[in-house]
Amino acid sequence: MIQVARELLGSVFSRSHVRVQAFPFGVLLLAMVLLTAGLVFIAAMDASMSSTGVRQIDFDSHREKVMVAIPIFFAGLFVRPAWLRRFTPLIYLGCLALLVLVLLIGDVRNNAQRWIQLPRFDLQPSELAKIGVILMLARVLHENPLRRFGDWARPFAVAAIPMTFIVLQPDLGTALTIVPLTLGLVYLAGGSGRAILGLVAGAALLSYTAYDQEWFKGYQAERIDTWVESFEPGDLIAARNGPGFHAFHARAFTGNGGLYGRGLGQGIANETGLLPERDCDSIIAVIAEEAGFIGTASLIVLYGLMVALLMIAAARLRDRYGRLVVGGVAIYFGAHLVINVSVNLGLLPMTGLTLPLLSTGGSSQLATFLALGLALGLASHHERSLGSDAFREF
Amino acid sequence: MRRFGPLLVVLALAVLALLARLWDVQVVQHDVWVAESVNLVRSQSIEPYVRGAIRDRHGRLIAHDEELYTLDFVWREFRRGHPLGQVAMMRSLAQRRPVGLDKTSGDLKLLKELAVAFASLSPRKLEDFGKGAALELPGDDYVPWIAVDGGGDSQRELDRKREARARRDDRPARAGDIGFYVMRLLDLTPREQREVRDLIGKEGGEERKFLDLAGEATGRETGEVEANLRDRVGRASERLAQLAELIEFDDAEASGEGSSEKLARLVAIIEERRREVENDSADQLFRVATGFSPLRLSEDNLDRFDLDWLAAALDWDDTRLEKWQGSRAAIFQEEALAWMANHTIARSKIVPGGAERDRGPADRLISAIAHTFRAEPDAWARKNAAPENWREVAELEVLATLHDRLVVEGNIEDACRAPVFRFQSPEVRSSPEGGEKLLEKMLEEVRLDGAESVELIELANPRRRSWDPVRQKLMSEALSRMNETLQGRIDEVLSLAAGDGAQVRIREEHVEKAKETRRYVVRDRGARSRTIGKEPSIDVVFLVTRYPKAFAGFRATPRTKRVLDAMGPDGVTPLASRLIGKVRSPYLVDVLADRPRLEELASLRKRIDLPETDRELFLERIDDSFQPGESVGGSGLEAWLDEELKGRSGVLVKLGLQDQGAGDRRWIDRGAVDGQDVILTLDLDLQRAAEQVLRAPQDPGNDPKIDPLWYERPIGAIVLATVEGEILAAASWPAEPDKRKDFLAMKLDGERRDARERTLGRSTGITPGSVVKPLLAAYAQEYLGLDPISATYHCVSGLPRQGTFSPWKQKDLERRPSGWGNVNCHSSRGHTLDNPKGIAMEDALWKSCNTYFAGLAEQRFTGEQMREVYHMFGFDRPTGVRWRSEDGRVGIVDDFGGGTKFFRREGSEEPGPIARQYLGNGLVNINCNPVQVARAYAGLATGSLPSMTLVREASGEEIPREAEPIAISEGNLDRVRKALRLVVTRGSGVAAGLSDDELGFEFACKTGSADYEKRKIPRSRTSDLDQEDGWKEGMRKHAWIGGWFPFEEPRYVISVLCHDTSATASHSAIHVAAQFLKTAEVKALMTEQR
Repeated sequence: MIQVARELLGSVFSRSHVRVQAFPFGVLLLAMVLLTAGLVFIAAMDASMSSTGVRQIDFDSHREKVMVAIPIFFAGLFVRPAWLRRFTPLIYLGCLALLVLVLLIGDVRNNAQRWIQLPRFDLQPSELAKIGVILMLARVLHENPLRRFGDWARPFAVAAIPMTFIVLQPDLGTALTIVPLTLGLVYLAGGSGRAILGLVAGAALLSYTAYDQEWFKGYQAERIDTWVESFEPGDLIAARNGPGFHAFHARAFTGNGGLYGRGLGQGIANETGLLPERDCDSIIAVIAEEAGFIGTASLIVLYGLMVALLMIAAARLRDRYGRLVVGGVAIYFGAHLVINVSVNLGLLPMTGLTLPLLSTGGSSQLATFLALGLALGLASHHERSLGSDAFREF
Repeated sequence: MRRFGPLLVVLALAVLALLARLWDVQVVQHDVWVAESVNLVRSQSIEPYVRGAIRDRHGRLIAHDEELYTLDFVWREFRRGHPLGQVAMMRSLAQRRPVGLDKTSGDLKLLKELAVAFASLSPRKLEDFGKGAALELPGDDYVPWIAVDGGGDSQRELDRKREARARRDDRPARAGDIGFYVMRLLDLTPREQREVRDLIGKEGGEERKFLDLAGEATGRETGEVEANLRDRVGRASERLAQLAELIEFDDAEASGEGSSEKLARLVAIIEERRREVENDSADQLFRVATGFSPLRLSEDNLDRFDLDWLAAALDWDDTRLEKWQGSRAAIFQEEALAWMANHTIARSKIVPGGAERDRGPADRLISAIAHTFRAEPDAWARKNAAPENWREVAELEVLATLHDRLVVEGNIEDACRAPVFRFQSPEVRSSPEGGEKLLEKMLEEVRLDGAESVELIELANPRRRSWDPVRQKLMSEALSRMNETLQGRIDEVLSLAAGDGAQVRIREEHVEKAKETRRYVVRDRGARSRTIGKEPSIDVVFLVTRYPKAFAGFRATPRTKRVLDAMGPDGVTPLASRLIGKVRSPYLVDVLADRPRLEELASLRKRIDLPETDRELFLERIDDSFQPGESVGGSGLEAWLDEELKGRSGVLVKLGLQDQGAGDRRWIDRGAVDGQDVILTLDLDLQRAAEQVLRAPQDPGNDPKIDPLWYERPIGAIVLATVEGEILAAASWPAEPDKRKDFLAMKLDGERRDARERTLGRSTGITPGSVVKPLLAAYAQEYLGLDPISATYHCVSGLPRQGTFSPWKQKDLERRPSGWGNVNCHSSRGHTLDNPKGIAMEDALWKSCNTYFAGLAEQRFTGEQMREVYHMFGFDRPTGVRWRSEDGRVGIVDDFGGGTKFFRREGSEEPGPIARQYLGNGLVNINCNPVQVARAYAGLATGSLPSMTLVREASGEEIPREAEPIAISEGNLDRVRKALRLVVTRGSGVAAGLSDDELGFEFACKTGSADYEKRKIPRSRTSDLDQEDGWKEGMRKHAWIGGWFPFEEPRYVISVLCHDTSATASHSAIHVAAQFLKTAEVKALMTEQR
């Protein structure tokens, strides 16, 4: 029995493909720095709130989830690339199944059905679906010459199916992160830059038309309205007790930090507890308030550097599948960084999206650590045969 | 790398864009966001100062600030912290309708049962309830499953439909809230709550009862937790009853109630507060959605609105919504209308600055009315004290926003913009016609008498800071009718918007905006405290402050109240009430005029860092502004000494959450400085004795000439002072207005209906009469060569009269009464019938011979010399009591009568011989108050005219006293003094009981009577005043006495004024003086070491 299990594990995981010489230690180091920074700020939040008698942010819980996620990181790190490529369709289907399941049995909170309740924590399948999409797009694109319409349709279909399920939850923010992933991977796979730019322009035009023609409904339309109306401080201040509540507090605390910040745990966001999702979607506002422009800008630069190093690591890979997966993970981190920070700074409408490695959130952490593990594992893997690269059947 | 390069560039650009925006928000916009952030944690508290006390010369309290409390109630704290509130709230959440506290509080068994039932729920059951399942609660509280219609649907489809219905009913959120209240009900610490949450997360945890979870989290058995819960609920109920028992309810009927009735009353009050919170929240949500207050609308107007969203937002059923709709118009009539009228009147008194300075009262009033109806009145008032010129007011509240806020089928914009009131008409605006005519027409348009515009225009007088209720009612009526006109137009617009009879809908985006603010509004309105008891007993204060958790929701808020400590002789009226005066709230007009300054204060407060100059400005603004609950000196010495008595409020501006231990970074921390005590010269005992004498003057019994009317309804004043000018007693009577309208009241001059301060103030001309004779005599000796022995005058009836007299006196003189010229002597026989030499100065003084002094004045005095002698003794100048009057202080009058034509040297001629005859007897051209007479007698007694004072010490410093020597030799003065001693030893003082034996000291004085008005007087001292034949035609007088004691070593002076008496001073004022001088208090004064 043990032997069977060992064989089974051996078929899935291996240490041999992870070559120390090629291991992107820079990415790992930066990820650890970011993770540590997140832990420090969450701990400060916990301590800050504890002193006021209202304990809302639970550092212990966050730490436990990080501890649970670390094995997932190693699982991703040591998974055999070949096994991964082979079973990508299954993983993708599994993600789709979870997305369907959440629509059937998911827990409804704040008018959204996004969570499947598990004994220890609530699983948010859309977070895992992003990884599934990256893998599947890499699988579809690594042997796709992107010459005909059908070549283009396949990756977009791969992205559109989970996006549809996610929109139905509804979770537009998460759904929209799949867009840069898809476009980025299509570009990396050789797609025409002009065509992609045309698509982006078309989407922008469509979005504007949708907004102008009031196709957006309910809270989504309202968030866009709030965003449009509250770019300037005066407008946002006027809307602070209405729909601009979250955006106002995120902006106010960010601005309050100034150049040098108010000091760790000294932010008003923590003191008042008024900033919604301050440990999760709006953690950057807390960091900005407490670390100031210098600290926050440094963190953003480090984050960007990590993404850049991942891309560089991906670019060095001969294996087209691995290159796309690593590149996809880089885009995944980059998209989260840009969208999350933009949302909190008012550059984009308010939407719920975590900042991986810094934010709390069980599902997000699982996805983040898995993605990071996969990316680092694949980045340090060396495909020996160049001839077997792009169009080789496994 | 070829493909990654562009992506890296995109990434770099994106990061740069983020950094640029971060710089913009964090550095460029830093000041804006700092102010906004800091405001989230900034709390400002004003520490009220204690107003200084007013004390008598021995340091005894006359008035002081007493620190009291009000019992306030905060609904939000009650429902979150008190078990009864928690159960009521959970029931409301379960039922989705307000379940009153009164439905639970009376039945302790049910209350406990419900508390346990809620605590026996499991997280799973609550979650199921959120999805549409039943909530198993006892009795009527059972909440059934949501029924869904789905013939043939699968179970899954039915569940989906049920969940959708549950979401529409807000069940998931309600379930979450019930969970919150269950945790509160179980009284768990934050650590225990976290433990419970962890337990819920464990396998099977969601299925366990909250009781069970709480037991494990706290290390107790479930049964013990349940018993504790029952006990806690029971104790909470008992404590509420205990509190109710201690509260003194306002109305009398409550006093005889038992404990259960009192509890029911307290519960009813709490319920009333809850309904108020709900109503206020509804008002605010309506205002957010529509842009105006529902109080602006009539009941019919409000009925036209589709307000299902409002009912849903507040979990109201149709009945509750209808109640709210019905109550708004009533609230307007009962409360808002009077508020509106008062604010309109106050605004009309504010004179604008700049080019608008000359705006007349009518224009000011119309501008104030226009302000009341204009769009966004608050926005204007925040920046400007005076209302905008009515010619500039374009849009009216409600109509200005309707077309933007409603779902409109037709065009309503024109109807909204068309003028409603006359002042909006373009022709009227451009017309040069004044506001008077316009106001008249405006009143006629609302079916009021246009002539009443005159009454209303008088309201705009900026000097009158308060106004009478009659005019206020007239203004209310005018505004009410104008409001009806506006509501009529609103009705037309609503009909245009949705068609006749149909309901108008507010645009979805505005409704959504209102719904978004619901949580904030409900929290904000619920957190506002409302007073439920004005002066709770110390037991109540102790309970709610010592045990805040047990009495969650109740607060004892400290405040101060001015207490008048010294009571007058009736034990009800404060001593020297009109002289001491009162404190009052600031005038509304001042508060409104102060508004822009408060805005400046608010904008200063929003800044995080203030340079020192702005910091000083901030504190200066605080000091200049009226703080809530602050009183100012309103009248009397309270007003006059306001500068000394008032203190300086403390200011604490904190950055940090006040109610939660964190923060506490102090931005401004200035402690309160209490006002300083003021020591008066008044002596409580002497003041009380003087008032008692005036309140109940004793008929001497041996004087047939007293006026029984005056003794029945006494009116007058007594002043006792040291010869250095310190006023020891300044009594005025009546102390309270005499409102009787009986037969006697019809015979009076109306003065008694006014309780005024009479020692310094006068409502009528009060001439001093013969009390001035000694002053003239002293002067005449010194400057006019009057020989007190040889210079004599004949005062005999039956002989031809000497002196100059006017032709109209000729007929009168045919009866040949004694006198000189026009002036009759009071002695019918004359003072020199048995003395062919005539009467000399000494006798003329103690006998008060009018003939002598009329002759002396006519023959020896010029007008200028008359002025000089009156000036010398202070009759044309202030008494000195208005200490530091140059500061513009108000509250104390000193009506010294120096403004007569005689003193102003007006008129074509100097006083002629006849005028001088009267002046020589103090009968014309001189008006004075009792303090002046006292001062003159101090001058006479000591040779030095003091400056009178009521204040001995203020701001910790003694008030400097001044005295002016009388330029008359001691010998001449002494001769006069001795003559006045004879008044007591040989004159009318003998019969009045002013002998040395009776008084215990030597007294010298002079009486004086001056005719006041011809009127009916009592026929005799024994006549029946209730019958018409008890009266006859006669002369009412002012009767005076001025004197000093001890005679040889003058220490004190006294003056007495009896107003409106038909008896002369020898039969009135002298008896009053005798009664006062014989009191134990005066005797005690005489034994006092100086």
